[in-house]
Amino acid sequence: MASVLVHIDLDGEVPDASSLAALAAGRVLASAWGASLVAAAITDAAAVAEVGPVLRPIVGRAGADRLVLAATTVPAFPLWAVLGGAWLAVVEQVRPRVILFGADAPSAGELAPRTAARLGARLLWRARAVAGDQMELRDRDGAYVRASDSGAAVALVAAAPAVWRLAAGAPGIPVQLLAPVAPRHPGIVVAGTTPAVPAQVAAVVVALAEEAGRDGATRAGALALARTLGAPLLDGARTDRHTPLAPELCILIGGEVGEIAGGTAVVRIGGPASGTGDDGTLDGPTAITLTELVAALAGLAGPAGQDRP
Amino acid sequence: MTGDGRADPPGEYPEERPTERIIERPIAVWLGSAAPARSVRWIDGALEAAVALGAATAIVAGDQSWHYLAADRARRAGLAAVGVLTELRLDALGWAHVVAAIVRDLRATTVLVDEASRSERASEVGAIAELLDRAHLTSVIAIARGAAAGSLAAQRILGRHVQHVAITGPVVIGVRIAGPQIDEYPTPVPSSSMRKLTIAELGIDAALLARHALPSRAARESRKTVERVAAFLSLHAPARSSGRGG
Repeated sequence: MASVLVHIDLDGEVPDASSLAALAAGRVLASAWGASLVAAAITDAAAVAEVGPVLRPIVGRAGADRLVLAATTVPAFPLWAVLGGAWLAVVEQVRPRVILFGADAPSAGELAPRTAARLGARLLWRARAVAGDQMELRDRDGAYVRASDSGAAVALVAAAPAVWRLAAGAPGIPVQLLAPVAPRHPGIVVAGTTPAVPAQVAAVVVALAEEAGRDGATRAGALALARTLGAPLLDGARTDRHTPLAPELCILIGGEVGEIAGGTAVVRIGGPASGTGDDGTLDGPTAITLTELVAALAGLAGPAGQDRP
Repeated sequence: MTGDGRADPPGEYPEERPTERIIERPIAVWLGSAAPARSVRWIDGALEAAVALGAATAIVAGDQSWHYLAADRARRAGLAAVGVLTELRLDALGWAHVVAAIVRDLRATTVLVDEASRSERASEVGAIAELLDRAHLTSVIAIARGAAAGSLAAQRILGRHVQHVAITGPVVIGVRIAGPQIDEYPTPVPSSSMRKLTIAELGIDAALLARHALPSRAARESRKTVERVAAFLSLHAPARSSGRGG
């Protein structure tokens, strides 16, 4: 039987939230395609005994049929150079049809593209499970993976399915332990981490142009949108117009703020049109549009309190 | 090219001999297969980062106008450039085959990839590293020579933190480094400083690249309704919990 493999990034001993969203999407796909769902995590060899008992019931309730625990001989920093060897051991063991990563999981950007390259698989960025004529994975650019496709696929999953719920109880799913693997590239050594300025490292930035920010309702709407997306709000009144911005997504409210990299997806709300190249453009009264947009996002996220990752 | 690995000064270009082996340079910079979708600042930033590391060569593929622009930015940074003129549209692994062939020819040990100027470039970092069987790093925002001889010190984005990494040995590095602001820059003109290569000269099997060709697609339409924009933004919304307590 074909397998859907989901990489689980760990936040201590528990799964990263984005990885759990990927696991939820994997459950939907596996059920629709008649495949088994395998969750796999990598941790330090010294921590396997502690991680396994915590992780097993969580991924079991999230729908995994099996858990594979791989280990590194060094601290498991989210880098290909450190995790690559152990991850390839998992892929070799499971031989999956589709591999899913949480799009915002710490090691996804390091592991997913290289995994796709190694397997010669298609790579989907920010995909979600979509039920149409058949269940499929579809990414933000319209690329998709279906059960009937040939070849392997790797996807960074951006959203859990609209309706799913953690199962009650703690299913005793099988756990497979793999032998510890040394770093694939020992020339990469982590020296430490430091806090960063949010606007410089955030994946999503909401930017409010100076003039638009003078309107209280627009400012409130911009703040609400930033909160909904977990993004910093960049105030155009306090930002030099040449400030370089290279997040994955930038939402420009009321006009240009800073100088944006070409790889950044841009959505404009109010303000002058830019011509081509934007991913979204909303005209009309800016404050009202923001209110409608925040409400629409809340609707897509599901009812408050729903048991979702 | 000059003996120290810099580009020839204007007006002193040697006669071009495309099949001649390129002078070895330890640093290569892949600028991509198409012009930046917006600012060239991140192209400049990648080139400046390369210059700081040693003798470097900019690598570019794609159409003629992009070659002119890339050669112009490389010349301003004082770098030599290699260009593959082609109308192919390839996936990440396809371009990785092209870059890897040039990197092997250059015998470059460090490859920088500008992953900020176009969204598709981030996929190419791991693909190039895989074909070259090297370590790779993504989302690097600063890089410099390290304290130990031959080493590099990099800073990369890790969630809301900056991770500091020491590097020794051959590596492919995806950089997101902005160059200085540009108020106005002249229109690029044809440059003879770029060494031009063809896919055939790289020794890449055309059938291999054909497997990585992308189908033609209509230009992407901007989403113009609240519902469609919300659906798009929802792909960037954070997941809700870590599963603790379930």
